[in-house]
Amino acid sequence: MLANYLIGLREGLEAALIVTILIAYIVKINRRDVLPRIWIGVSLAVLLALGIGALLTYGTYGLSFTAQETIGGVLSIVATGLVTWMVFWMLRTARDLKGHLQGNIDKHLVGTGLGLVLVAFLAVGREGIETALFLWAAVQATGATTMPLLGAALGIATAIGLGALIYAGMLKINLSKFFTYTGAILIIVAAGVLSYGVHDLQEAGFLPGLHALAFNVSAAVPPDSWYGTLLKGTLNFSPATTWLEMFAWLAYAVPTLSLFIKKSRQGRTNAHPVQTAPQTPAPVPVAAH
Amino acid sequence: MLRVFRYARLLGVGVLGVTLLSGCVANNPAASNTALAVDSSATNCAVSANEAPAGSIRFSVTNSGDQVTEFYLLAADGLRIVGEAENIGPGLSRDLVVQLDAGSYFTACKPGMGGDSVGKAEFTATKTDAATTVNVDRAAQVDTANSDHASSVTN
Repeated sequence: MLANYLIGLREGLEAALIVTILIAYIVKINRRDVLPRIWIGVSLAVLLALGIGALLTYGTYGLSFTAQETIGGVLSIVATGLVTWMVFWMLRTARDLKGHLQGNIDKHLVGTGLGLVLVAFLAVGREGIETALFLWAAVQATGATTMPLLGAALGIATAIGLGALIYAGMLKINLSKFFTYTGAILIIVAAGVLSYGVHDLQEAGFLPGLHALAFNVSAAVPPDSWYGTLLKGTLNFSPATTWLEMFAWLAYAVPTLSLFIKKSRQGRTNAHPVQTAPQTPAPVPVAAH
Repeated sequence: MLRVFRYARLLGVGVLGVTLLSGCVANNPAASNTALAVDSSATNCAVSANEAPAGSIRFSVTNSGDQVTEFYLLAADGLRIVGEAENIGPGLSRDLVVQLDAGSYFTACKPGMGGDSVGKAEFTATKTDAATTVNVDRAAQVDTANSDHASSVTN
């Protein structure tokens, strides 16, 4: 029961975190009208994952191990790109909001209709197939016992509940604080997703070095403990991390965080009314988007 | 909004298409499909047979322990993952279907998803056209192989 509960919690946490931040942001900048786009993305991902999971469980064909890992790995890397895009999109709209350029926000949001759907879709769908396969296995077992299904459902419900709590908290803090915190958190989450994707591709045999571990703290942080689950579910922290995973994590997180800090400072000085000659923000090439 | 729907649907169809084209394996046990049962407990990883004809083999892994478990099918080097069934919660069972060439492999379980794997055992996919010969020394060979490879089972 507890073990199945923790699986449900782990699979749901990261998606809940990303979708929560996205929704809180949209509400904060008074653009509730685009909320349906996020829900479309979430619903599509849930339906598609459950559908594919059912097809693979009960249908004529299953998915080979390599294919499953490859899909998981590629989706993770795409998700990293989209979350990064989301962070820098939020930065841009936040800056426009400070300068009261409402028109600019409208312009950005028009262009990002599909982007918002995709972020929500991938945040939920990335591990969706894996979660769906786990859920259908629990459904299949209900003839014998309903405990696994109940545990998994409660775990996912807890993840959504935590998301709602975080949402309530986030509405209370002001936009610039909100932005600095969530942007940094999202970049760390995205770095975790990337290194998880690398791990999937290593398991599929597309990338080498599956057994070259940079560190292994499985003894101190057991993957099936509640704290291991929380670390895995939010930051994608793997107690046994390969060198390639760690390299990918650093190669993404360090430059992206630096760029984020630099750009958000730039935005702050620009919006300051005392500044007489606001530097026009040079079109900094966005490394990742 | 309609446009958005169309794009998202396109994406969905694309993902599904890639899925279907790249890695589908038959679920229905055909004549050449061998079904094996694996029991993953806290201390053991019992496979119902230690050899099967090469081709499509289905491992139905049941978790009888109280930790989340994983089942691995490893290549002859004991390291490369040929197939893996993850996230098998207590009381649940998951299938791993693999297409195996004739050769030797290892099976192992990892209850708790970390640390050493348990019950690592040799598994052989036999040539399908040749008559299956039962090797009486199999058990001895497995023991030797187990101790030879014990040091590499740390992952």
